[in-house]
Parts: sequence; C-alpha cells; structure tokens
Amino acid sequence: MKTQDSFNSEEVAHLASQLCEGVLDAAGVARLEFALRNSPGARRLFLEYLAIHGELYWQSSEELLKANLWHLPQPSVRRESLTTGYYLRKSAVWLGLATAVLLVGWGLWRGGFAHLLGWRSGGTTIPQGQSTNNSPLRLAETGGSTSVAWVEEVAGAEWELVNLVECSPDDSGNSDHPGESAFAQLRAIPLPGRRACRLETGSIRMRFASGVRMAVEGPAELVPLAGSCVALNKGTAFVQVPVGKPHFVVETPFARIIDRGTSFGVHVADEWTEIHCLEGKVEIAISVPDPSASGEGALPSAFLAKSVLMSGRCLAAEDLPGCADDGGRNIPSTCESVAIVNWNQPEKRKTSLLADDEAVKNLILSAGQALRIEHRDGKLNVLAAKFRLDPWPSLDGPVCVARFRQAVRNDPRLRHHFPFEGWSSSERRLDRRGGLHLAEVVMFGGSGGGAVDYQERGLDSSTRAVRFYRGVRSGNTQGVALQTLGDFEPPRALTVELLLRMDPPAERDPQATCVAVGTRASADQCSFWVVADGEGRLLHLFDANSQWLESGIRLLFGQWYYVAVTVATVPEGVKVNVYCGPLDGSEARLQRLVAETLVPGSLAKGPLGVGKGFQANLAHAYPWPGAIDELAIYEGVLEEETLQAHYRLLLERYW
Amino acid sequence: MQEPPIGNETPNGSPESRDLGNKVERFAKLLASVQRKLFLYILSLIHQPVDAEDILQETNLVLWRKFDEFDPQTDFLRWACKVAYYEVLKFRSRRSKSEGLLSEEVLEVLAHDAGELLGQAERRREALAYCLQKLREPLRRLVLARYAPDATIQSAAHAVGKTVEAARRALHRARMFLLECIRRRLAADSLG
Repeated sequence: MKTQDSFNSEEVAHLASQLCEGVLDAAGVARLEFALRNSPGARRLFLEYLAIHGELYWQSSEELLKANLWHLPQPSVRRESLTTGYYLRKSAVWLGLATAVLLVGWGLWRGGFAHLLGWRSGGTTIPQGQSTNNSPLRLAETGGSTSVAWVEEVAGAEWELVNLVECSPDDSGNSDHPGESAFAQLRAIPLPGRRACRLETGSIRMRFASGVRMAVEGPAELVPLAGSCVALNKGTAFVQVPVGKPHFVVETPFARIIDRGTSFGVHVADEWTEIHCLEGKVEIAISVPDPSASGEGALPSAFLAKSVLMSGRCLAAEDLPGCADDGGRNIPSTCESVAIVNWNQPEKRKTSLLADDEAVKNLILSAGQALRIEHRDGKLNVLAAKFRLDPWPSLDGPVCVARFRQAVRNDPRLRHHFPFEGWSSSERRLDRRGGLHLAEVVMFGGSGGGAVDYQERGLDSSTRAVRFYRGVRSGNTQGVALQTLGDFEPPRALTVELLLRMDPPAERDPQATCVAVGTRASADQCSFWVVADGEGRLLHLFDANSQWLESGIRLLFGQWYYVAVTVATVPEGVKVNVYCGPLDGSEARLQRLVAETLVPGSLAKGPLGVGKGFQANLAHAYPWPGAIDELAIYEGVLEEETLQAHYRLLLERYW
Repeated sequence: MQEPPIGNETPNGSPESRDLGNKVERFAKLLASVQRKLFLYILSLIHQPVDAEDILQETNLVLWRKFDEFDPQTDFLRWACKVAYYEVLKFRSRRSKSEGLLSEEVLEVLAHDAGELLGQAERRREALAYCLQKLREPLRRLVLARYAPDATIQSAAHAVGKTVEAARRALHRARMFLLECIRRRLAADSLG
C-alpha cells in the first residue's frame, strides 16, 4: 500500500485531465480516489489542476490573455455566454444598458409599443459600444427547477423581485453622478423555472434560455415556465424573438401569445389584455372563460398560468389546437367580425365576439396590429385595431425618473417622499420617508363617478403616477384626490418638488382653481404651493387674504413639468422661489420663474393635500385635473444647482 | 357647507422596502465578491463546469434564503462554501455512480483542502494570466479554442486541426505547463 507521500504525480494529473474531459472510467476513478484519499500531495496537485481548469472556464482564456490583471479590481469579469452569476457594476456601460431598458419600457407605453426598438437590429437605443454582448449568459435549455431565464439588467430604484432573486439599486453613494446609483447591474441573475416573480416597480430586462429577450415593466407578475415560455399574469412586457429561434410563448390569463418570428408588446391588466405586434406576426389563442372552472362565472386572473404550472410543461405552438400554420386567422381577411378600428376611438367600433363565434379564438396579428381582450364578468370582448408604427427614431424626450428618484432619496434634507409606487393603491399612497401616508378624499358633493387612477403612466417605465379626478355635475365641481392622514408640520423653510401634468379642467372655466399641493390651517392661513387656474397659469398662495403669486408661466395641458417651490419663513412673511421646466417638450430648460420674492403669509400646519386644496372651512376642494408623480418635500431651501441637477436627470438622453 | 368625511381607506402597507433593499444590497455585494471562488470550490468537487454552474446557481439561492442566518462577523466565503458543499452532495445523490463522481469520503477531504486553496485564488489567477503568455503558441491556441464560449474538446480539436485524442493530450500538457509555471511564479513572489 502506498504511503501518504508516495504518489505518482503524473498519473494523478493524467487522471485529473481525464476527469475534466469527462472520459475517466470507473477504474480510473478508483485509482484517483485512492491517491486523493491517501496523499495530501495528490490532493494538492489535483486541486491545483482543477483550479486552472476552473479559472480558464470561468473567464475565457482569451480574456485572461488580454487582461492586465495587475490592475484589475475584484470582482472579475465573468466569461461570456456560458456562465451565470451576480455582479455589481457601476460603470457607464451598464448605466447605458439600464437606460436602454428604461427607454424600451418607456416606448412600450408612449408609442403603443411601437417605439420599442432598442433591440432591433439597426436600432440605436443602446449606446455605441454598449451592446448586450457584454452580458454573460448561459443559454442552455434546462429543465426542472433550474434556471430558464436570466435577468440581465435592472432599472428603477423601487423594484423588488420575489423568488429569491431580489435585486436592489446600488445606492452606496459612491457615484459622482447624482442618481447614477439608481441602477443596479446584477449580471445574469438566474430565474428558476416555474416560480413566480413579482416586479414591484421599475424595469428589468431578461433573457430566456432560448435566446429570447424580454423587457418587463413593473408592477408585473410573471412565471418563467421554460426556456421558451413565460406566464405573464400581470404587467407590461416587450418580447423580441431572434430570427431562427423556436416559437416563444407568453401565457396570459386570457390569451396565449405565440410568436411567429416577431417582436411584440403585451400588457395584462386585471380586466383586459392588450397585444401589439411590432414586427413579423404573432398568433393569439384566446382562452374562453369556463364558468364551471371557478363556479362563479369569472376566472381568477391567474387561472391559466396556474393550470400551465400544474401541467408542468409549456405547450409548444404546434401542440396547441388551431395553432398550426393554417389554424390561425389573419386579421382582417378571415375574421369579419373583428372590427378594425381607429385606435384612438376604439369604443366606437367595439364588437363582442366570442359568445357566438368560437372560431375566432385563434387570431394572427401582423405588424402594426393590436388586439385588446377585455374580460369582465366571465365574458370576453375582443377588439382588434391598427396602430401607427412611428418611424425610428421618434423618441423625442426620454426621461429617467429612477435616477431622479435616487437623487431625491440621497438628499439628507428629504422629509417626505411620495413616489406613488407599489403593488396596491394603498402602497402607492405611502410616504416613503416620513410616514405621513395618504388617503383618498372625496370632494364636497361626491365623487361624481370618478376615482383616483393609480395606474397612470409616469414619464418612463420606471415610474407610475396618480391621476386625480375632477369632474362637473349639475354645475358643481367634484373630485377625488389624496390627503395625508396626519398633519403636515412645516419647518421654517422647505422645498416642494414634484412632477406634474395638467389636463384641461372639465368645466372649462378660466377662473377655476386647481391645487396640486397645499395645506391649510385656517380660513386665513394656507400654503398652496403649486396651483393652476383653469388656463394653466401657475400660481402660489401663502396667505388667504393676499393676492396670488403668479409665476408667469402657463402650463400646457397634457405636458409633464418639473416644478420646485422653495419657501423660507422671514419676519415679513415668506420668501419664495419657483422653478419650472417642461419634461416632454423640445424646449427643455428649467427656469427660475420667481426669485427670492417676499410675499405675505406663513407655512401652514395641517393635512397635506395632494391633488387637492381646502376651502376656507377646510372642506376638500380644488381638485387637480391631471397627474402628479414623485412628490418630495425637503426641509430647507434647496439650492438652484441641486434643482437644476435633478431636472437634468429627468432629461438624460442616451444616444 | 358640510365637510364630507374623509374616505376611510387606510394605507395598510408598511415601508419596509428600504430594509429589504439594504439587505439585498449587502447580500449582492457579498455574493459578487465570492462568486468566482465559489465556482472554483464547487468545480474542485464536481469537475464538470456546467454542473458546477448549476450547483452555483442553487447555492446562490440557498444563500439568499438563509442569509438571515449569516453572522456578519464571520467569513462569508467560508459560510458559502459550507452551503455549496451540501449542494454538491445533493447534486451527487441525484446522479448515478456511473458518471465518474468521486466518493463522499474523498469529497470531504477534498472540500477541506479546496477551502484552504481558495486563500490563494487571487494570486493564482494573476499567475495564470502571466503563464498563459508564456505558453507556446500552438498550445495557447488550443487553450483558447477549448475555453472559448460554448466550446467542447471536439470543437477545439477541430479548430486546431488535431484529432480529439491528440487535442486532449496537448491540452493536458498545456495545463501541466501552466500548473508548473504558476507554482514557480507563486514561489518567486513569496521570495519577494
């Protein structure tokens, strides 16, 4: 029997080599085990050999040859294509990639999916030199509970992804660029198959084992089912299937979407699903609700996804009845009952189909066509439409709220922060900094049938806004807005910063009063920081018995603006600065409209109205006709440079 | 005028996402700092890179699940290696014995020694980069071909115009050269 140090190093190395190449037979394993069990020297040699094998595999030898390792920081760059892992990087490259995701998501909505060209060949959304090839991906198809997809990039500071692959923004504060750390780049986060993921806010970009890329915008709930299949129970996604790849399937609660060499967008809401075909063709198999399935006539929203999960596999396109090449129907040639309508006025031509026409369950959309499936009360209505494919490039104002949000959070003076993000409406009303949470309030006279819309589109894919309701009934203004549950206690100096959009007030009264943010302590004491009249003129009021302070700017209806108001208490009243800049127009510039102007008044303590104000008797009044996002209140007067920096973050362009 | 009541809908969530974000950030940074070493550790026990990657993924998930149990005063890599070791055993139990896997007894001693070797991982990697430059051109081309993304021994052999068996032998020679070179390099470094 050999002793500990008498091993044949050549033989051990040779056996290790065979082991690495997967050609070691049982006799070889036995010999190797004997040496490893009895000789520390053999173990050392074996491990050193394996370490070389591993290092070369982990980072391709070519990279090792090129690398100037003496200056390389940890962690190392992982090899491309074959490997997975977590990596945090804060380089501009990854920032650009994250931005591309944002732009993709932004385009999903703003252009009716038509702008989503960031991954198209020839598209230039991803900045030069920042190709997706930088991402290490393992593309092999795997089964069982192993990874079937990988998250490549993450954008947005608020997102959470349940399923043990949670990511957060890197807000370590090391960045020289305010807000840059809003983007966490966790490279190739594995998503195990058949486990649900919830994306609270923000955007992620992922790649499936089949090579298919998908951008998902929160809030969303998805379940990667296989390398070529995903269930999207809720949310917005854009899918791009590379040429030559097998069919990719997106399961939604009421439709199975099968690509036919295409790119498409899909949005799944509680009561409707919408699919836009951008390139090629996409086949849609509509699922008719089965009243017996739930016993109540209406299916739970995730029913089909769950049934797919239970079945344990994802059906291939050819497995689907009616999904073969000749099984689907092209719109409109073979489906006369599907209305092709002007997308801007779909309600005029809506047609109820499925109750009496089973044959149209399978439809084929071509580029520029969209399908909306409405599911209410156990019935489906299907609406087909054409939409306009805008020529590329057509994005004229990409913005990045996630970066702005991060800069806001990083400011130690921040006291209250309302990003209006979250899965539920109550989450969207949370004060993320100060605990001064919001509740809905209804104006005097009732809601008039309106409600606060928490799904309102923000400036980009990393954000949602809230839209308040302002309507007229019997000549009286009615509305629904938000107000803090407790009193807002103003410091002696503060800054109110927000993004807002004003829509035309229903009453069309130039004298209308529309309050975006304000408090009121009494009939005399009020702080209406951001107000507009019926024509959009920006106003401010700090003493109910004084004149309005006019900013001298008129907000264009339907356009997003950045507005900041600073107020400092002085013995004679308050000193006010007002800044305003458009966010989606071509003349983007933050102007200081009011500079150190002394006006009568004070900072009033009282409930904080968001999207509303208060009458003299403190009744809810003056609802804001439009949307507000990212409301932040700071203690102290923020410097103009800081506000300009925040504004610039919202205007970043990436190409 | 009578003031209408405020809607009684009360926010029922809690802003815990910040805590979660901090936790995730800490975890991600720790994980990022040990991924390569963790992979090397797993590979030393399981030998096949693709299998090692699968185990690494599973290990990452388990680490996250158990992250609350991790004592920040202790060594994250050591903790991660323990988790990885059990994942290797789980993986091994799912595979048949005919697949060239080493016995559990051997794995145990290898795991101990492999953990010690990880302490040199960074220096060894730097030495490897140096030694690759010293490799003769034909062997270097073979190594490049073998460890290119998605490559196999067959594709590498084809790329350099050798038979598969000849490529295996040459690759073994290349690795042995690198192994000796790294040893010399590390020894020279230790001498100052």
